[in-house]
Amino acid sequence: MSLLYFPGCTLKNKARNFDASTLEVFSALGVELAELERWNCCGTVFSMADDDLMLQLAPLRNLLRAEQQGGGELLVPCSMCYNTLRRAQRFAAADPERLGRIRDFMYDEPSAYRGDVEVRHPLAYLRDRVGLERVKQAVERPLGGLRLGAYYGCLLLRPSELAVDDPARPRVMEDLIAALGAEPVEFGQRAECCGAYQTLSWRAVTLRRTYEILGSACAAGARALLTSCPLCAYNLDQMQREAVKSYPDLCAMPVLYFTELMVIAMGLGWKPEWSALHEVDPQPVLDAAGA
Amino acid sequence: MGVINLADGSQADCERAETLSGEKIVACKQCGTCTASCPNIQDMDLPVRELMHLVQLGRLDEVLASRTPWVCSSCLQCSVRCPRGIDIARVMEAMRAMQLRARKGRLSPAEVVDPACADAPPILLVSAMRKLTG
Ligand code: SF4
Ligand code: SF4
Repeated sequence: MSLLYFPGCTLKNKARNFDASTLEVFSALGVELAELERWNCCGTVFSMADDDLMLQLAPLRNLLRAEQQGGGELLVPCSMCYNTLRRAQRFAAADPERLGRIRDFMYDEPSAYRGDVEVRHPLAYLRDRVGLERVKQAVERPLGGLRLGAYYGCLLLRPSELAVDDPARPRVMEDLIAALGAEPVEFGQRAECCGAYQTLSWRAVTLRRTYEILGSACAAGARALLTSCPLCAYNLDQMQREAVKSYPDLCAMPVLYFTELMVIAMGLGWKPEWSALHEVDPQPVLDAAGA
Repeated sequence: MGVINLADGSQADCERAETLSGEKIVACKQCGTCTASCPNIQDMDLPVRELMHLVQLGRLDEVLASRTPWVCSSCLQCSVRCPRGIDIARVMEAMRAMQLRARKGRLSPAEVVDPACADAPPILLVSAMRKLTG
């Protein structure tokens, strides 16, 4: 079967490993992803000011494109894109007057925005549609009980209405880790912010968040972290080099996209060029699978 | 603690913040859950609960002079926990919007495209531009 797919800018750039591994994993599980045509940047952050209708157009135009290309479900792996698209959709639906104005802004489109595309995150799709049991059956190189921490951050869980799982006690990523033959460890900071865009502004915020999140995962026994957000990945992985200067006892560990872990465990072949996109070498995770 | 004075111009300032954020700021009961939930609190000069109180009092000048709205990373941890159901992150966004619309950004676009940011992912550059440049 075929499913519409929205990669977003970063998956075509610094997170090419996330894009490629998502395509491979879904294909191996019998779901061919069809990249949305003429997609544009989602805007990266949902605009929360009440009067900023213009800033909702970037995400909503993508949803309109999906409607025009068959509608139904749209798979969005990047946590930031997923969150922004879903929040913009809810914002537009909240009152008919607003919805009317948003339609007016997009008057030159061949069809009017309806707002009925279902934006789905791969973690929820794997759990609800594919089934984690089927993922388990596809494992060729189980991860030998490697202890891994699932880092959700903010955007998969908040606001609650769009959470991919129970926002108070998520387990979908832990269940996936277990299905792949590794051992999930829960840690206190798994749903606390990585500092996000503060990396370019109040850098001390991000450095401390990086230190605290890694420390929390380390104390729980995790040897690597999983994420679905390229900004979390940047702050938790690439920023380790700088954070260790402020925090010499920083606990270093690799950070992988959950789809990369699936590629490893399903024996789909890790691409050597993906290693270069990681700051901390993911080799220990590959070793655990004998890959 | 100050008294919320409904007679003078302070009410108009509080209402301006309510309109822009779409949130009922006067409903805040000053419990402090937001401050306790904030992962960035150590870098804020005005704790989140106190910011909410100053907005209630219409003392926006003091709020806008503080760095707290800029240190906020829109993580929504306060918003999901507020017992009064206030989406505090939207109040922070309204405070930033007031500054940005007055062309008082925290960052200039030139800083964001600095070569030091060359290895940054597009979502970092674009989100910082969207949130912090006027
Ligand atoms: S959590 Fe809500 S009610 Fe409590 S101080 Fe913060 S804004 Fe006010
Ligand atoms: S949304 Fe902002 S103020 Fe609220 S907890 Fe997160 S960083 Fe703190």
